[in-house]
Amino acid sequence: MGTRLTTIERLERWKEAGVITEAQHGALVDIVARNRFSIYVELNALLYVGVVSIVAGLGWTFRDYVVNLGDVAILSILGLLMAGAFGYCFTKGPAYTNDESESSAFGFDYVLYFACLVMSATLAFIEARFAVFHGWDTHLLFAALVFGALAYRFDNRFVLSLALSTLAGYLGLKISAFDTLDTDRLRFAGFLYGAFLIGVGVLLHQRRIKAHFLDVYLQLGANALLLAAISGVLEPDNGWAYLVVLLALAATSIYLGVRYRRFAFVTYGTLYGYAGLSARLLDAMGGIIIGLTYFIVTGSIVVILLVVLARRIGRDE
Amino acid sequence: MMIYPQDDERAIRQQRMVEDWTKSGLLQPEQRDRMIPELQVDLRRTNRFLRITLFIFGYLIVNSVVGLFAVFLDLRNEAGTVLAFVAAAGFFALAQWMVSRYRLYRFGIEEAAAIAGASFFTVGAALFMHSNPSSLQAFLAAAGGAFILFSRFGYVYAGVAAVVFAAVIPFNFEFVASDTARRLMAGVILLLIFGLARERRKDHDWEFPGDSYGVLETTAWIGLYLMANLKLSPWLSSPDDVPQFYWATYVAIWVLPPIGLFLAVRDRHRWMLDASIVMAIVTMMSNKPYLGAEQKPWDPILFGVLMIAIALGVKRWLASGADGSRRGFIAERLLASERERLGVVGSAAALAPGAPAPHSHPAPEIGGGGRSGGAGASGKY
Repeated sequence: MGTRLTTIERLERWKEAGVITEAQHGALVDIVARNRFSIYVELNALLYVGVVSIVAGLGWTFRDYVVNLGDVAILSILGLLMAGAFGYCFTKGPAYTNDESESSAFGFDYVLYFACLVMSATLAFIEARFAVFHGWDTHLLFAALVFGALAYRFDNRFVLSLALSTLAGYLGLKISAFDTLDTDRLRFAGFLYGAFLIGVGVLLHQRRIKAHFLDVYLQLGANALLLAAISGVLEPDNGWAYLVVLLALAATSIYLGVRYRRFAFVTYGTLYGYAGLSARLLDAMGGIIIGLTYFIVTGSIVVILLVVLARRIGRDE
Repeated sequence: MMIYPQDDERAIRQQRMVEDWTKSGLLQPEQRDRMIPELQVDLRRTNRFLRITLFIFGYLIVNSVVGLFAVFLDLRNEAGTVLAFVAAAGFFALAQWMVSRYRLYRFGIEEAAAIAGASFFTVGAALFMHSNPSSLQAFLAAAGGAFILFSRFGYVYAGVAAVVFAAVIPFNFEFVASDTARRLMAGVILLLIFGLARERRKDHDWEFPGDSYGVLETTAWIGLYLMANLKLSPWLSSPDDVPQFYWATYVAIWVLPPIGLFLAVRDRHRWMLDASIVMAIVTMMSNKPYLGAEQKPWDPILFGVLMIAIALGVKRWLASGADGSRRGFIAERLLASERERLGVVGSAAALAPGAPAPHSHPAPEIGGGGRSGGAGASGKY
């Protein structure tokens, strides 16, 4: 120690000490020295950009040329694309398993994603042109259910995210909507959405059905619940009630985060809880000196508690 | 001079590699257990979430302390400048003390003190000898302060900030009215930083601090592209109507990405590779606006098909090489961390701007109404 060993020198030492085999040494040196260099992530990123771009272009083209092309032609094109993509997925896809599974072929995940996006566009077109769902956003619920089923069938996190965000769309949720639509109804939808996600995620995890998806559910669900609660804290009528709910949720998030060593939830609970409490208290107290003193005192308490937590259980990064 | 021993910095990075290799199946857990003790360092660290939280609260506290002083003492003008400089020195010293006394490493709280030091130095410099804040002095101080943090504590984000602030300095020259001249000066600064960072990176051959300099090198390269692409950076300043410069930048945006790709491929430079790919994509998107040509609705389709064709073509070309690679480049995943990166992107896709909006259903009509149900396709029909 203390000799500024490079990684390759360390690997050499481990090989000489018999910690790693000759073959392992060779493979690891190749990676460290970049003699083997994977561009797996870059190629996947290109496919993702390509798929999203094509669907965006289709939407733009059909919007501008709907009169020239006609409904039948547009629906035929969308239908063919969808059928081709879904057909490929179901014929070439791997068999279903409850465990995590790798894609059967390079680009497979993006064919599925493309199929889902085209399906979204098709449903939106049908709704816009023929109003078959009568404006109740039923097409969003339908799309969310189909995407959810496909995400599990093909073990695709992109499509699961698409399903969950589409479900949020069905419930009238969108993060930016909190700026303008701060109604109790919207918040109730937020609570419902968050609780539903966490419930489904935990249930499926307990049954060992794609247990690795749990984090997606918990992250989205926790943020939906906390965001819904904090958005009502400054309401004149029932702001204190929202604050009580927020603090209860924040405390739960911190407790469970510590218990299960998922520190993202400790962060969420701390930040949302502190922001909500501070907003309400400072709104009631007022005054710049009181405000600054409040931040110094309460901020220091939070820091001390977090440092204690970090020293006791906060694992090294 | 770095406050942390270079050995410790390298050991921390090697710990991460060993964990990644184990997750990737390249090492057995028993082997990992024999390696990790050799890489232990006498530094207090925490996970990234507690680090972020501690940073936020630490920064809130130090700013409140200074704010309270300013309010209590009713400081104005020169006195405010003095307070900012005193706070800058005090917080920088506090950060150093926390590191040397408590051996904190990326713990959040010492970072908050260090960043506050640089922030107050910037504020003090902006107010120094001026009744109205001087943006030139502010950016000079910000660039210098951020670089000191990078050099002393090794914070890569501070190094990136230093490069960005340095590039913006010419845009605050009051004696240079021409945007063309300002962009050229910024380009020279960035080219200089690129060359210096590149040399420093090569000195260490991807070992610390070479990896950090690789990030600065890429940042400077991206900055150079941003300065050149007039269609991408009108928010920075309004370009002059100098035809020669306009067409020179058009050539530059087509030349920079291939050069970047060439350097990245030759040096196996991941950051440069990713940056150059993004630049190439942006160049294609900027082409029609540059030429004043009309955007067609099917342009994104052609662009998307091209991206997919490139990805599949490169994948097939690499796979057809001996041992599934060409000069060491492979299309397959080597490490678990690569899969995790994609997984994070997949989860984050739920929060993407293309996520569906709440639907209010207007009466259907040709060319209007309706939104999509899924991400990315929210156009009207």
